[in-house]
Amino acid sequence: MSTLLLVLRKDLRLLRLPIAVWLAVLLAQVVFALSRLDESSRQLGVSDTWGTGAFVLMLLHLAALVVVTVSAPQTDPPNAPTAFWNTRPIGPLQLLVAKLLFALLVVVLPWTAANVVVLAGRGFTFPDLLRATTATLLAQCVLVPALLAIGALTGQLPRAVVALIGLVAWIAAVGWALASTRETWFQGLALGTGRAADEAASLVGLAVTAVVLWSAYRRRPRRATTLVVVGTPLVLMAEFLWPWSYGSKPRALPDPVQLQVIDATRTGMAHVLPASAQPTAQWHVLGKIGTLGVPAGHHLRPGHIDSDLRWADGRHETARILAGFQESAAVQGTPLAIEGLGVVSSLSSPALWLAAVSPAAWEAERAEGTARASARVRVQLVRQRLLARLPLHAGERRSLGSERIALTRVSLSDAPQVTIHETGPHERPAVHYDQSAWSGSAETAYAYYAFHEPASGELIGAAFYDSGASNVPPVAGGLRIEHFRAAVAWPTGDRWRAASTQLAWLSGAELVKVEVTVVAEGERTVELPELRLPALPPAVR
Amino acid sequence: MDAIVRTEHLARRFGSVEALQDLTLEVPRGQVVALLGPNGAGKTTALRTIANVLEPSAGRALVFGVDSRRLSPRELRRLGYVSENQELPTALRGAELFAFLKGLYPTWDDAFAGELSARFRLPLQRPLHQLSRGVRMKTALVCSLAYRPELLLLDEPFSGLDPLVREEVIDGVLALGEREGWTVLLSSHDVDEVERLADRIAILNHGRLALLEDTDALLSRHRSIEVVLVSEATATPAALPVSWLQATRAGRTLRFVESRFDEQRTTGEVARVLPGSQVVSVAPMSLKAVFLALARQFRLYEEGEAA
Repeated sequence: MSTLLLVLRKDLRLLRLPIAVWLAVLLAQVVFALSRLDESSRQLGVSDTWGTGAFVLMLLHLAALVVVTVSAPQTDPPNAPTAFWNTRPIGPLQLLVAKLLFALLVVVLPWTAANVVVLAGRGFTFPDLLRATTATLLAQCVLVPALLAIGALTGQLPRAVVALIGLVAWIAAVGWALASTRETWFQGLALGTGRAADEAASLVGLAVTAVVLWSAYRRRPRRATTLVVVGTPLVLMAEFLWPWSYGSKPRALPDPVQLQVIDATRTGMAHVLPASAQPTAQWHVLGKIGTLGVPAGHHLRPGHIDSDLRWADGRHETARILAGFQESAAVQGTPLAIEGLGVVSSLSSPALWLAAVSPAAWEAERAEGTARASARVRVQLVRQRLLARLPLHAGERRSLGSERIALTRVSLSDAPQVTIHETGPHERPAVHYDQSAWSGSAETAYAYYAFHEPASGELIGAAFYDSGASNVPPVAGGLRIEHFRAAVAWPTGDRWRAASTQLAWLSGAELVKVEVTVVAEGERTVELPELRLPALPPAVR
Repeated sequence: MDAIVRTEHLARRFGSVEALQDLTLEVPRGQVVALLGPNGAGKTTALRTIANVLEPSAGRALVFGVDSRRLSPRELRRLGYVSENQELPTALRGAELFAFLKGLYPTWDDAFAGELSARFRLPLQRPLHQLSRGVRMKTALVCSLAYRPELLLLDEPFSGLDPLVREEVIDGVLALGEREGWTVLLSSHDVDEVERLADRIAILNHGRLALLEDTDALLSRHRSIEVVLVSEATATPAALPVSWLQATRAGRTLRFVESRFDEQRTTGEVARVLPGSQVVSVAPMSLKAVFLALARQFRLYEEGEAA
């Protein structure tokens, strides 16, 4: 133990200058991140990104990280016959452990601490901090030993930099080859996604790095170098071609039918509406799903819609609307979402939720005829919680505990949109909130609805977003924390029944922020056995 | 007499180059053994292999009875190694380096380190990178002496030192060696200096051991001899005795190095080979002169073998 501490103390002394730079960069990043947080609160509407300062700090961070980590093994290079330690009573294993200890104390812990400070400053809860720190440590467990291995194999900093560039090029080449292979050979298979693939790659990388380090310290530099060259594709293969998923499975959601919120007697295809959009002439076929007894604060919404149209003469057309959050907002039944929140007094169609079947399938040349239409609709029952409500005026702000919302811009000049800037616990940049990463988190999302109650609770726009965007820790190489900015846009055309493009009309309009949680999910198929498409209006034809 | 170092058919190859071949030698306890040889003879490779800086390609080296490949910190605490090429942690000050080493060696003697530092006038409070090569070499020497190693491996310790520093180092090693009873295996080009230090000489040539002998015995069997022939017309025999090295003739005078000198035997041999001639001078030789004669002889052998 004393030998380890002696070597560690010597290295701290030898590398005091780069260590000081490294710690200074981390400190600067923390200060910068936290001060930018405040600044963005004051200057809402400015660029979300960190800008030049963050970029420079990122470069400094990477440079200091490489120099400090690579230099640690190079103070006692394991494969240099002229190294001072060679004939000293220090075993190779002791030396390796001393270098790992150095990396832990000087690189990993301060780095992690900086991340924790930044995330805590951004309102992360303890469980989220724990998740973020785990993710950060996992990434560092691969990166830091890999840099140590490069340092051990090269012996000198300039050679290490050249080797690092070569390794990056090698990774890029192998990654490109594997990506191409995946697209052609493994098309259609669910490979290399999410947390399982990331962690598989991390573990393979860690194993390869451990063997490389061990070989280097056992004075087998050729074997170690060969392992680097051969091991890199193994790591990337684990990332790209990992076939298994693991971890906690997503919670099984009940079918809305079981919850008895769908009225089968009022479910089906109902209307054929002539499209009014010009110049493309279209018909819209609307399906309806009848609801009954939807609990207060809940509503049904579509996931995706597969539409199918079979003409009497045998021709057949299909289309899928991938109704993500944005798409689902575009269906005409969405006003019910607002009704469920109790923010409007009355709605034009309170009982039915309507799904738009793909308009793309009905083009102008099919002006007349008979077809059998059907649509399979993925239906979600969601629970909504009203978080904030504010007038649709630029400059309006709300504070929700540590969260701040500001409506920075209402514009009709180009594409009509409302820009919302928010900071606080919901931006959560470092936690992986993708579906495969953290069970359950994807079921919760956030939505903004812009509506106009004086115009019968008219919904004029909506924006949905889930709660995580970046999977890069804030003080890591990626260095990307964005203050979330939502843009609620409303399209012109027939999909929004009464949305005005006049700013004056917006007086009286409001914006609400809603937390949306999926509580049930299932599929319903609606059919219209004999769909008669009348001739298009002359103006359209 | 127990051997601190014993090599058995030790060999080390770098690619296709045999840097060291079939080296078998012993370094007895308390003796100073010098490895001599021209550049590329394998001296440094031999020392590095013995110290486990390099692994042998064949054969083995035993240090304190342990295979060099298995030298553990326990044996390394008894071993001192100084090389002209050794890289010191030059960002440290001498005092910091000593403090680091003191933790590694339980036998580290602060008083002795102080005595050595004073003898070599080391500026211990200055970073090593600010010091001259000679002072750094002296620092390295102190770093390997202050824990009183049983075995000292010195690889070209005098190389690149100015004469004054060299003298200081040699005097220091000589004095301390006698006092401490160290076992030393050193390599050097400085044959004159080695003569003062070494009890035993090993000459390496092209990676092979060409000679291993006590210094006194080596010097006592080599003499520079001058013979005056009967007349200038007297022919020198085509085949002179093999122990006569570097024979050259100028007029009536024949000079050579007798490598198996014994007064009676040499005089008798001269009388037999060169009848009527007269031995006018029998001079003892320095180690350097002996080494040069042997080196030339080895080269002649090689040329002969090649021919």
